[in-house]
Amino acid sequence: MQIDQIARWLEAWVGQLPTHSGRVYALFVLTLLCTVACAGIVFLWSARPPDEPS
Amino acid sequence: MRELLLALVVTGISFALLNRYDADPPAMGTDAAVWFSLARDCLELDSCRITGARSSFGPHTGSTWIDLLMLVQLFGGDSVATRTLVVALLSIGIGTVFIVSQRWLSRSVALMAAAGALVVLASSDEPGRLWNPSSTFFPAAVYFAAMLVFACSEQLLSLCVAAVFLSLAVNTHLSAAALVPSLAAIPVLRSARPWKATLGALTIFLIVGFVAAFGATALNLGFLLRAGHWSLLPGAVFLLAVLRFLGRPLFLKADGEAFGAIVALSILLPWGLGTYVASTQGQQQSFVLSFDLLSGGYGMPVIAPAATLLAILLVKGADLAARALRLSHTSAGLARGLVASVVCLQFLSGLPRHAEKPRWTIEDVRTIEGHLAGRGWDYERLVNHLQNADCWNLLGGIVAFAGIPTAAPAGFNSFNQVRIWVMDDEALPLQLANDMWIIRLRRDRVAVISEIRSWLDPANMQYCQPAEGADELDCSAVVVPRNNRPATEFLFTEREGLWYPPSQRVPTSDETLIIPLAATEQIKEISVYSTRAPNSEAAQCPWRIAAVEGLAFEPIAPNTVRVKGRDGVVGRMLVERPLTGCSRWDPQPPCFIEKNPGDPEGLWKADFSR
Repeated sequence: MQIDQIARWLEAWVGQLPTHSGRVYALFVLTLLCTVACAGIVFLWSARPPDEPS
Repeated sequence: MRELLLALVVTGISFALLNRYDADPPAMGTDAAVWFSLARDCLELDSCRITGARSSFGPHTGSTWIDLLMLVQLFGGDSVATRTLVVALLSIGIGTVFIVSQRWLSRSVALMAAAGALVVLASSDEPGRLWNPSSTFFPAAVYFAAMLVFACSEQLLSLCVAAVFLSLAVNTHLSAAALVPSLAAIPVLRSARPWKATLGALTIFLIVGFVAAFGATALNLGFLLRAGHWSLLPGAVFLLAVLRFLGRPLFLKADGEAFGAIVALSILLPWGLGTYVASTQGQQQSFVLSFDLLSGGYGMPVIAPAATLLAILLVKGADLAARALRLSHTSAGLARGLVASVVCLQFLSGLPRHAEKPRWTIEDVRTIEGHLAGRGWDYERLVNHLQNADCWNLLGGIVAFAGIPTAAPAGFNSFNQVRIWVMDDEALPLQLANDMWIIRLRRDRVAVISEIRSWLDPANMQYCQPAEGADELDCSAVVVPRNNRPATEFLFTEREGLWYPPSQRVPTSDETLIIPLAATEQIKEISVYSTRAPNSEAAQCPWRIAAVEGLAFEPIAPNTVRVKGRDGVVGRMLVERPLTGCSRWDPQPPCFIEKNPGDPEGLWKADFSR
């Protein structure tokens, strides 16, 4: 498949996507991302080199 | 445990230093107004734009910043609360870089990197601007820290964390797109299964992008396809293969601090290349963003790696000097500590003591808007009817808080205008006219507001430019675009188009505005002012009064004329802006202020917006 065809298909698909959502969805996404981000921060703050005592 | 406590102390100090803005609420700017309007659309009209805002060169920023603003507003927080949240996130970013550098590189590097990042952030007014780059440092710094852990340990979980935070960074501001090459390069150098690790990281990056703002991510993919940048893909794969076979043997010989330097360089090099490409090809033609580290916001994603790289170079330099001087291990350690202490103190002593006082703060604009709305002046009615030396910046801020347009109140006269002066409380003149009212603002400031019967007739204003090939002006009526949607479909952000009438065309040559004057009194002074950039004292290529026709007038200052009139006599005023030889100017029309005989002189002298 040519890149041009993929581009046209993707453009058509993007054109059909909704551009707005409701605030409940927005808050759900924010909560989800905050949870994942917090877990990531906790992981980084607790990660240690293998030879280092905790 | 000691490391953790030290990291918490660094985070706390960062928060205290970044949050040292006295009692000043954040500044109001046009970008902040757009984002606050987007958050209002979401919160008040249940219409959240999942495509984020469109950037000036095509791609869309995601909706993460909108969601964050909305969250603060949902809990009743004002702009100060929003800035506190932003500062808290920035401090956590500094703390994360500190603790990771301390454990995986060295304490000296960690201290200097944290101090360097803190100084750059504290010297910048970004945290107080409340637009999306304000907080981009946080996800970008955590991304950098996670990549450091991955480079030092090959832990796949840290690569996943890095991919998540990079996606959040790009969703917050597109300048973080310059970090994407490092997400592919470091796994290729480090991982035993490079292609799996790289593809996995890029997949997580895309998934988080789709979850956070699938509209923006899909549109950006479409933008990449349309712009033909997929043709760069084979070249990128080839470069990664070369990196794998030539770079990996060298990479595996590196130690902790060298890993740090490589990760920092993998971020800084594409960013620097982006700056170069953008500066040579022009922002519109380049996918890579037009970055300018010194200008603040767009440099946010690279502050942490740049500070860390500088710290590593200083520490390595101290080590080399210690070796050349044949110092003992203890003395070399002391030398490192000394360099770290001196650099930290030098950095911290360079902190500006007070943030610059913004001309308009978000809370002042909110207060002024509330009072004007209470007297029937909604945003649509204020356009071209607000008299202040900085009227367009004030209107641009009011747009963020003004409610849904209402029908004009009975008796509303289009010749009525609102004049606003803002000054320190102590500068308030003792004698004010009866029809002037005073509003208390923060920072011991007051706004004096009065409604007047104006001579200006903005409804019949004409915008002119020189006609091509002729010695005449080509004029057309200034049409203020109106939002004609029904109230149920109204969106606050659609007011964007109202900001800069006549913005239907970008000025390319000299401009002239012709404003009809309908005289009602004997005499009036009319001044014209030009919009200034937020931190600028003087406007670029200012507007000036060229002539008054049909009424007797005398110029009394470069931007002011005294006009003599009689009730019912109609004239017109020509205001021009020669753009020939101008390199940069603000696109807004002029601001007018009419001074009536008997107006207290002190109002003009004390007004800070002039």
